[in-house]
Amino acid sequence: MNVRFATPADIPASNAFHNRMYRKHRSQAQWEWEFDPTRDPIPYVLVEANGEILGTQALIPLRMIDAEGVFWTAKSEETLLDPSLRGKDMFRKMYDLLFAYAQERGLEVIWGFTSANKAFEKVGFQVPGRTGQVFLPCHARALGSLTDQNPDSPKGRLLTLGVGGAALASRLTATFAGARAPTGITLRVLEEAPPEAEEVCRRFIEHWGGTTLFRDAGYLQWRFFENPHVRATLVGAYESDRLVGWVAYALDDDSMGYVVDLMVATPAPDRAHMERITAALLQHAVQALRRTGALGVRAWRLNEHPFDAMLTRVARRQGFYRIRRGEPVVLYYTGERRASMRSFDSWYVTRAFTEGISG
Amino acid sequence: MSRPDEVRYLATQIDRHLSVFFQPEARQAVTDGVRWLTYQAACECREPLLVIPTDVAAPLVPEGPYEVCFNETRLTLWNRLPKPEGWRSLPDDLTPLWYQSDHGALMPAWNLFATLFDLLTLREERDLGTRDGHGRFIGAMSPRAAARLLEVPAFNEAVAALAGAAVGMSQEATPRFDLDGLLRAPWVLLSHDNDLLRGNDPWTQAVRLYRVLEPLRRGRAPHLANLYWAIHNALRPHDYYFDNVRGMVEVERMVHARSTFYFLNGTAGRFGARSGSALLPATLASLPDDWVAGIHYNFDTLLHPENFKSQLCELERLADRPIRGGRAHYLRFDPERSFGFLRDMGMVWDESVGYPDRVGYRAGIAGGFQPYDRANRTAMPLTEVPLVVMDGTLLEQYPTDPVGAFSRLLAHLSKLGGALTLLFHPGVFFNPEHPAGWTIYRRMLGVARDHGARLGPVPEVLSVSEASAQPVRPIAGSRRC
Repeated sequence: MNVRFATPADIPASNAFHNRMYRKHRSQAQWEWEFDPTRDPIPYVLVEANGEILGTQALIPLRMIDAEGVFWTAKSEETLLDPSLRGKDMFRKMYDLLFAYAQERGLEVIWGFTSANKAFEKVGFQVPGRTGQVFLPCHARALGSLTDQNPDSPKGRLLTLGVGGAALASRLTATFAGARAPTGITLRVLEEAPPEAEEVCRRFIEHWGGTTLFRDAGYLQWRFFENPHVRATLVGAYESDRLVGWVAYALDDDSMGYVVDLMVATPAPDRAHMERITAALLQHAVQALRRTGALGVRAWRLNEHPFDAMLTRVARRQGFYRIRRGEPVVLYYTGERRASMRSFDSWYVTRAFTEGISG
Repeated sequence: MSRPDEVRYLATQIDRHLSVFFQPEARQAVTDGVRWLTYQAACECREPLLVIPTDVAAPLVPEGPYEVCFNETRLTLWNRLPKPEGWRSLPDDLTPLWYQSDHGALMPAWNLFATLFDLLTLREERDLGTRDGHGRFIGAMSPRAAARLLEVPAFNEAVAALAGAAVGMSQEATPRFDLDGLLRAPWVLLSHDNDLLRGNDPWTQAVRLYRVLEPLRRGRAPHLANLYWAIHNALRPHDYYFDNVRGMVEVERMVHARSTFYFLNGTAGRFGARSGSALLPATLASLPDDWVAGIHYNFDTLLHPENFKSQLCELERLADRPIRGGRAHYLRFDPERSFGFLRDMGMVWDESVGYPDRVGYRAGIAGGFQPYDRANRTAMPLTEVPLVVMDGTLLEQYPTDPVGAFSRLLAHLSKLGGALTLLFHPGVFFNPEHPAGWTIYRRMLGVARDHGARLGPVPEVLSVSEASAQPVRPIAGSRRC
């Protein structure tokens, strides 16, 4: 049994392992977009026996930002073990390599979202909370995304009726909420990452505090415009031709809509004004997704970060429901914890933190 | 007996297909290694060449279809050729793909030339006079329908077999039964016929009201849902029609795709432009610059130059750009005269050759080809890209798993090379009044992505630029706007 870093020559086999285990059709191009084979070494660890890949674990280095500045972190991904390896401490062995990698390269925290949190806790991860959602049903058929209940069963029919009623209520709520863009704000669909994104991101930390992914133009271009799974639509909010925020939204293969990212930071720290812009961006995303036939719209709602809390308030006014369903968050600090990370409530987390399969 | 021009024509179409869907190595091997001969001359060939008989007539009704394993899929062949004496069958006598002589000459075991030539020249519909109420040759009328061969892309299968054989012969004097390293990713060509841009035209409303009352004739309760939709679209005419155009564009951007929108303007009426032209400027303006606009030839423009030019001129004026391709409303098409007519009207590409009642390959091809000009014995400067999958037909033919049916067609093509054309109407994309189509388009785009297919409009992939370089021959007295 050999535990080692992958090389570019391993890409086809490791991708085939993933597809076989998950019964998916991820392409090599999608693998390369996610894990960047130009890194040396690629922070993608394999368990290999007799030339066959039996386990994987990867890190995706990503920058975050807080009041002290920009710093490196890594997202945990690709956790997969052949059943024959369970109970043989292979997960720890893979993470031994990756913890060392993270230390050498100054990755201050490793984070992820996984239902396999017990395995992560055994190797030293903490579980400070869970992801949660806000959900807007657009049609009774959205039931399929909420539950495995057979819609044709008596219980399924009742639930369908309930979801349909909720969808109607949401529509009425949104109609009365009415969220036009404030005077002086225009919304534009962007064809490429805006160069001013970094400025907005820095202002966001100044106004709202805490820590979040560092969203400069390079990151946005990679994460949204170059996403080979689903390319989210990015709509920018402009005030006097100055970018003050954006929303990114996408529709997955099953016609579920997602608000993937939303960030607003005006030059002046006027939270009421920023809340109105947030409402306009969210409404724009919902209307656009409705036009695509979205069965519903989902967004993350994780914690008490002030922007997350404000966004949730805005979402509820527009007919979203809060759903306390999600996955555990796992965190591993490689050294001294930064002030911004002393509480998980200081993290501003959106679906931009996910793998990108749904946008 | 075939004529040299017919052989030249088919060889050219095969070469064009190889240039788009195969690596250069395959195209070169076919160019170098294929000879078009009489059956007798082919039997007497003493060199290790791919020899294709060109003088054996094919019956109108496909004879003896059978399947052969090839490149992880199965080819369906018919019209078997007699095996020359002393030659062996590959892979076997029961289901041969090739015959090979002791000298190494290789002959297709089926009547490749006549079968493909007949398909590309739409022989079965020229020879069979049957037509439906709209003057169309529909899928049910094809002899291939009875033999369950409509969903066999015979041209693609033949070229794939040729490519594998030619490359194998050039390397090891034996045909390959795989295409490893020779294929390019398949295409899914997306288009949308904008028959209806609003739901409140008199004809659509009349149909709804009829459907409300029709059950009363049979002593049943009225279908009040139709009344709801009549009222809904009376108050909000753009819902689920015009608005869907933006939704479709949005969804296509999300999968890095583009498409063609064909616009119906001109004569109004039940079979005409029910929505009129008033919404066209706004609809055209809503399309991003790199989406393609085309003409959806009105019902009354079939072989009618004045009506066609009138519709085209208005559309070009509204679009403020030249319109170079189209598809016929109701798929009205004359196999003898429509190609020449469209060429004379200045069209560079056309997507009309499809069945209104069946998913399938009307010309046996998944991709584009130049029609054969019988008068001038040459390929026409027009690219025909036959319609294969239309939303309504797919949903009717495969109601329980339309996406699965689409996936099967694409999976097969991904092993052969080619382009699958998909027509999805805006009014079917997202319309609670007709829920069967809801979510289907998005799922099919995801399936295409999973198969590694590229997604785009016709002009992006096919040799329309080549066709556009050919001089357009205007009819007497006509002019472009």
